[in-house]
Amino acid sequence: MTVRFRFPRGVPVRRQQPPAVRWLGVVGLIWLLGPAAWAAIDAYTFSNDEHARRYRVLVDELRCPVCLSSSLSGSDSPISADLRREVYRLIEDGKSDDEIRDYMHARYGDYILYRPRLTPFTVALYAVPLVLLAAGALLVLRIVRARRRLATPVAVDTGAIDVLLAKHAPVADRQGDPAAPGPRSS
Amino acid sequence: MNRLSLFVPFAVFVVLAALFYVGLGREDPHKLPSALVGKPFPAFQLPRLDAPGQRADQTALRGRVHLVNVWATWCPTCKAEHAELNRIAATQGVAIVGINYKDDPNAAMEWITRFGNPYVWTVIDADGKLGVDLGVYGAPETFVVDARGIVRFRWVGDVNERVWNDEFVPLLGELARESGSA
Repeated sequence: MTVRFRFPRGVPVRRQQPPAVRWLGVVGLIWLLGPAAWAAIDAYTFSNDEHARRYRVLVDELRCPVCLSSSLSGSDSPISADLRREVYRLIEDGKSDDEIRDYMHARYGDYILYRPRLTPFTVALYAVPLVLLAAGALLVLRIVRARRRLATPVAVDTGAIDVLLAKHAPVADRQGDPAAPGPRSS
Repeated sequence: MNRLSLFVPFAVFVVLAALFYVGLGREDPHKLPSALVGKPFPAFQLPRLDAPGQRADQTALRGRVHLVNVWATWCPTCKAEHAELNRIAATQGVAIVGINYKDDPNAAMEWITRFGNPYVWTVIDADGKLGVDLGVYGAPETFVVDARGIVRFRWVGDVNERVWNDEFVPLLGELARESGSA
């Protein structure tokens, strides 16, 4: 027997989102498609496909100097257009990717590279959080071990406890035991 | 495990907080430090704006301290700093050199004729190639170049009186002492 789901009476079969929500959806979709349109349109003719591929990778890797966070490929600024032209010229001149990055770095400094150079300073920067994490973990370990030591019961001498209990037990418990001393025994 | 070690995380926090406070409050994130400080002024050979037919190259920067000012007529901030440059050129005893950056030479010539010419000489960097070699990312920018042709400092933005007194005067004093003892 199949069970059919029925909408309760009074509810329209087809639910429509209110206009505001639908517009949000459309805008959201367009916004997601936006980045594809951001790629700057430069008509460069490369001597081969490898050059074209390297160009696309490099202009994504190099940062626009005037933008707070945008690559050369994603920026409309005049300086970015100039630098894209430089990248094109350097690729066509036969420079390697590393040489091009060095060229840009020599002129614009660390900021222009999305992947910062590994210098003693940046290595220290990366290391500090890890060191702090390790130190914190060690501290936690030490605290946990100290607590555990406190919680572990010390070996107890049950024999001595029994003697003490027998010595000070109430009189009612000791009916018929002549060896046991009274409550106020000397 | 003594009580004092309980304060270690707090101490670490205080140190980090202090570092962040100083470091993050320090500079305008739009201003980049120049990669050229300590390096020779890049080689160039460009036509003169103020002496048509002639050219200038980087050797013209040797022999004395120069301020190299990157400017353009399309840059409103350059207009704002122009009066200050005129004042500096006239009263401060330092030579200012101009690089007309990606501009229209006729408009540029008219500009310095109308508003005064603080520059000992000006070159035309029409395609911005010298600008790229200098790490210029917007006008105006002003470089301090010492007598050996080494870049010592770059200022991004307009040079006004406060900037002049705070940023340039001390450095120029130092350079004067350097060359005096050389």
